[in-house]
Amino acid sequence: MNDECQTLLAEVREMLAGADKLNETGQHGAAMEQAYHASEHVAAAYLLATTGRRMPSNDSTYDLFAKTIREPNRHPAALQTIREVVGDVCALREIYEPALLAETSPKDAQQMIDCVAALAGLVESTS
Amino acid sequence: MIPAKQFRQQLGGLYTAVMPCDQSDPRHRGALEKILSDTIQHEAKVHGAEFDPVAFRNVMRAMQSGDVEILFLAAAWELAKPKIVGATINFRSLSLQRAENGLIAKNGIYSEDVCLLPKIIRELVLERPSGKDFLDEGIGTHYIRECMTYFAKKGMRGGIIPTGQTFEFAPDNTKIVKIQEQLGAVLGQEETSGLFRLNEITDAIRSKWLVPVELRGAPLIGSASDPHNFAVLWSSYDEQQKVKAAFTRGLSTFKGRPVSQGQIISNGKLPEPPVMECVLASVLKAANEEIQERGWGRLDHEPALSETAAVFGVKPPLMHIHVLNEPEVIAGLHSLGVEKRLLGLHASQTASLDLAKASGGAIRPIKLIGSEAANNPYFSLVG
Repeated sequence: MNDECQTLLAEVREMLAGADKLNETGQHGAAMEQAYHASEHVAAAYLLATTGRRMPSNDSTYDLFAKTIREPNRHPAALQTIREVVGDVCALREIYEPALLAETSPKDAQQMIDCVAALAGLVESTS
Repeated sequence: MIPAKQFRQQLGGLYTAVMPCDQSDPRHRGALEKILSDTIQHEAKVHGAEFDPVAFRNVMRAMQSGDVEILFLAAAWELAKPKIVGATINFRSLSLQRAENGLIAKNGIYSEDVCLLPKIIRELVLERPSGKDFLDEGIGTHYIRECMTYFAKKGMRGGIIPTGQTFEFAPDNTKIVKIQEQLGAVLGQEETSGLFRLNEITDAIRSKWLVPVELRGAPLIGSASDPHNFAVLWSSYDEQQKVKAAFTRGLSTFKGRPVSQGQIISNGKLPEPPVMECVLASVLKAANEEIQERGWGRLDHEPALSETAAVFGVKPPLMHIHVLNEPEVIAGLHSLGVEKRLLGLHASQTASLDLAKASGGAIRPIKLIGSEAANNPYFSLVG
């Protein structure tokens, strides 16, 4: 993993720590939003590590990442673990709705933060 | 409530099912009220509308009258613990298509709402057993395709098999756009397509010369004519130029009031704009009169009009007009003072989906880049 990629993942950790703090201080919607965007940074970091291309952190990059990382030959040893964690984050991203952020509960935000943190850890260990 | 045999296990281990609401089953009726209340409240929040309990009561009554076709979406990690994760609300409709010899109207479906309940999806994530995982194609894509497959294979009430689906979408809703693109839907673009709203016949429509149009009923199986659908056709004297419109009796699930869903297509050969405006004005006027005659402005459970009021008929409900890839029709509607329908600050758009294609299981691939392309992804790919 190159330096730029490490930097991106360090940013992810910072974002998630920030999301945790936001959640603790009652800003659950902002915490959810931050964790959502952190998942896109994870995607950009992974694609940077594997292709050398810096891609924007957005929905399309995340989709490409999710499809790519679950290819059967890519991480044979960790395929099932990867599939499970990527699947969890994909499901949570699907129901992420900016218009409803104000109704986010601390539990909902924590679930997103934890899942993205697990994903980041996985990417770090496999890239 | 959901028999185990209805479920199919997906790759990854999640069991999913789509099933119609059976109004004769008290458990279904109970579940319907709960799921619809959650669904409509969720949709209202997403679109910035107020949830109206009176409107909801109207929607529930409309369900009982059989006007609306609802499919429950269910999921389970273990068959003993199924969950209803959402619902779709649909109406029997017509699907207009260009054909070699003109324009044809086939059985279709108008989808009013599709909703996944976030709370239930979060529960599924939380309860996921180790070693199992979610669907690669995404939950939304999976359920929309399953619903379309259900209708394409099993049909709607009365054994009607729809061939095409029409629906409205918000162009800034990137998630639904992505899902529908994956399924192969034709999504309207601002330059050539639009969704319009007509509260009542405008002065501009009234002022146009009327041209002859033909009203065509939509047959149901047997000899009956569908009370909820009809078409209006205009042809030039030499039959070279054609415009066809179809109208469906629908219901706003926010407002609990009837809405007529209209679609207009042409055979691509159209008269000059001034004549085109007369054609569209004639089609809309004829449709409006037919809708008034059919009493679509009144919900089934509402009391019938008094004899005096019946002379004037029921005021036609709000009309939504879907126009897909017909720039001349759009220009004509603008000239007639028909406004775009807005969802929040943005103009809403129309889309259509070929059900045979959508239910065939083909998913458009996301193009892999660089070295990724060398590996064979296991998800299904089409060219």
